Amino acid sequence: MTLTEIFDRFAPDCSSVPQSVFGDAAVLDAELTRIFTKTWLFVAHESEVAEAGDYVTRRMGRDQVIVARGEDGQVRVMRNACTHRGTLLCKATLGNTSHFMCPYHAWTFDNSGRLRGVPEARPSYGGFDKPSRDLRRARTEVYQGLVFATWAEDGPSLAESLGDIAWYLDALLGTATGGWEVAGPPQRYTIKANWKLSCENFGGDGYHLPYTHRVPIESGLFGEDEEGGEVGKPTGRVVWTPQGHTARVGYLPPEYAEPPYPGYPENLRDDLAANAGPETLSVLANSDVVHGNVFPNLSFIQTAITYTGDEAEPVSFTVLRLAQPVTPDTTELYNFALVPRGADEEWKQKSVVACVRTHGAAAVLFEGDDVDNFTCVSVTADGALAHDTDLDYSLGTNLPRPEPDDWAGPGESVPHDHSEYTHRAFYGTWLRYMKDTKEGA
Amino acid sequence: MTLTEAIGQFLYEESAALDEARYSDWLALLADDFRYEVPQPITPQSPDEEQYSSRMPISRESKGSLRMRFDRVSSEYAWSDRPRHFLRHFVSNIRVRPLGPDEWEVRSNVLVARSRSSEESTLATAGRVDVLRGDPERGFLLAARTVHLDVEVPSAGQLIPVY
Repeated sequence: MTLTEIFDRFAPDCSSVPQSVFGDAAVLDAELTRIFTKTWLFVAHESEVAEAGDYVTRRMGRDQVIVARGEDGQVRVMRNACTHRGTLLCKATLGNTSHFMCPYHAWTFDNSGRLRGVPEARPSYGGFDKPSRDLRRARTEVYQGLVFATWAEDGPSLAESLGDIAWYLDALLGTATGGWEVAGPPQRYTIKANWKLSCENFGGDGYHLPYTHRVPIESGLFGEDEEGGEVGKPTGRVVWTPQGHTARVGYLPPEYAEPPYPGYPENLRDDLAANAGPETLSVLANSDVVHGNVFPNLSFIQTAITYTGDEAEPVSFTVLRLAQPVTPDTTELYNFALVPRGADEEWKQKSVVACVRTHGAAAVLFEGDDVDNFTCVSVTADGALAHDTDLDYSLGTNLPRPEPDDWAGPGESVPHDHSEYTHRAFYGTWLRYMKDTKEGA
Repeated sequence: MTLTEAIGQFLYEESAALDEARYSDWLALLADDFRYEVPQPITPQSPDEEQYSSRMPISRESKGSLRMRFDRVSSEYAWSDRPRHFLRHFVSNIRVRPLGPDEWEVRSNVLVARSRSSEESTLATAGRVDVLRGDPERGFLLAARTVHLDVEVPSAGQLIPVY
């Protein structure tokens, strides 16, 4: 099946999606070129490269990059490949250095990507035009501590590209005095599933919660059934933007009347609320979880878990989830736990534990069941029948949208927790990039 | 039986309880303050630098959280634990060092094989640093376990077992 035939199978509103998007090698090849070289991609948190010379090695799609803070204090993202023969320059995961020397012929680049040294430049090359062989740099911008990069030399700025999802990132990461930092180097692991499955799930799949996560929810992990099931049901609001970014804000039953930012120590909670605007406070009131996906592959969740075996009271955690494609059915996942810089060390560790036990790489309570599902979706995308199978993403298309809608959050949104509006927005944007074959990057 | 042999027998029986899904037997071998930790493997630039970070570990569990984990297996909706995985631990290279009158640091190497249904088997090797309390006459309790995985980017299948 050609790519065009695959694209033509989509329903115009993406309420049906061909199963080939999860298993076809040509689809991934096109994604890597048409999406992963064109869009702004998350590469690191600023706090991972806090000092001049700090670096981490990452990928943008399947392209290897170095994220480094130069001696001038600026964070840059450059291709981790020597401009001589393409050798991987830096094999370490993280470190601090002023220069990267190629192990093959010792071409040496400074941490801003400039070529500084070529052995035998005069006797063997007869002189050398160094600037023409600097490392290829990606455009780099930082938003709320999140470092993004793109190979697109022109096109929208990061702020333009984030659009209304920026407001939700502000609500989660913009109100702590002193900002946020990574708790430590991210968890990394591979799953046997297509990268989009993690993104569309994190993006707003409220429907799976009571079914996939029936055990932890019934055992009161979120405290929702603590009054013997007599309280109302949790609700939610799904949000999407024209750029394909999505979010879901989950709400406790109304009886809880929980103020914004649950699961923090009192002083921290007061600080988070004091720096939030009235619209943010109104959207977060009685909310116990906000999660979403920044197109294409940066997911996020902030929630307060009540109990994983030890806790006396709910502990909030925030995790960024990056889904890097490797093959159609292999994805490398990164989990970055973020903590407010101003929190004390003891609370930071509690937050890490709540994250690790529920949404970490080896977490059985939530993550294990999700990964099991993603794998089970990908494994059936491998058969011949997948080529003429379309999957159902129509949930909620027939539900009425409230008029007027006084919800304060920006972007398109509906109060239909169990719907697939966010999935359709993700695939709508996906299709737009995939059909655009003009050369970029 | 020497101390090392007695500790070896304890570790073999302890692993067998996990392999055979006898979870209450396994939990009974843990001290109440048991701590289980799998730090994140990293690749620093210099060979002299630490290869593991505990700041955001892969696992940090207690007896309480592990009891929750194994209690859920009996639920019909414990999707990732049902059907059951094939699991096998191989324990070797046991080294014992006293920490106190009744407390021992026990280092060992493990090879752990796991598969389910028609999935390919995932193998993983790791070094373990355990703290055991007790003596050969009264028996031992496992008070702490730190697992150093021999891979920086493990597969999800390699992260399913308790090591």
